[in-house]
Amino acid sequence: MEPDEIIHQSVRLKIMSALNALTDGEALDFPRLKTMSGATDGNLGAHLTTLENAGYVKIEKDFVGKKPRTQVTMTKDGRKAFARHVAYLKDVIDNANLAEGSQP
Amino acid sequence: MNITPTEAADALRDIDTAAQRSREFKSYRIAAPYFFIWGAIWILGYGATGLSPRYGVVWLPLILAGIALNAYIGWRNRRQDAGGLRQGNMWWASFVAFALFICATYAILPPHDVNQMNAFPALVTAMAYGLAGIWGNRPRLIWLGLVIAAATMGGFFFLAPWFAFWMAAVGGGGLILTGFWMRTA
Repeated sequence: MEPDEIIHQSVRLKIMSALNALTDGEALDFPRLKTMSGATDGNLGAHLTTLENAGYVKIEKDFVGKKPRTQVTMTKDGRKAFARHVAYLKDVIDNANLAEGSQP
Repeated sequence: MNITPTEAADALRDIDTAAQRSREFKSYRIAAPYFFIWGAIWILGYGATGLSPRYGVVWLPLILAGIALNAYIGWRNRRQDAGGLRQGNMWWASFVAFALFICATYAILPPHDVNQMNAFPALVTAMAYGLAGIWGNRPRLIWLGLVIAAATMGGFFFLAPWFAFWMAAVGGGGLILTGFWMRTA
């Protein structure tokens, strides 16, 4: 099992975790993701683009009145990749615990 | 790319924290409309009681209207997602249980004056928000409970002649402001 380098970066991990906690098709907008990830506007935008290019999130832009709005949803591929990455992390810890337990 | 067990544990902790925040913010957004409804009901009910204790009868239709609106929001949430439905149902069922508890308590322990009658539901509301905040790890609800309790006690002891209007403005207005606060989460 291999780690997902795209997801493992700290800000992207928070973005994916926040989106994964929602139901399929449910979106988070840019300001909420900014609050949850603690990233700056530019930084968050760059990380979202990376996730979108990997096919893990879908970004939709529209207007509410005259205000632009950016909505982000997790794709099915994103959900699968996130589950794989979490399984990998748990595996690392389990293996370390096993190795520790087998030492005299 | 190698990830050490410590890094993996840190990452899993970050995942849990972010997921919990995401669910917490979602529950606030789902709860917001209920605060608008009950805020308006408090303003109308307490406002009417302040004009004359005889108008206290408006509470019954107001509470029934509140229950009907809560049921409508629960139905609307069902169309959006199952998680929203469950949380929505929990919110409106809680409000109904709360209203029934107040009525039952008044039947057993009738209040001696109108201010006592007005203060009791507010104090129970404050306690309910506080407990919901403590058990559900929802800091905004704890703050709301503390503010309502402080406003109720302060108004009861220091603003007795205007207590009902005070509760309409501070209690009802506070619930509506809380609804806006929840919606921004």
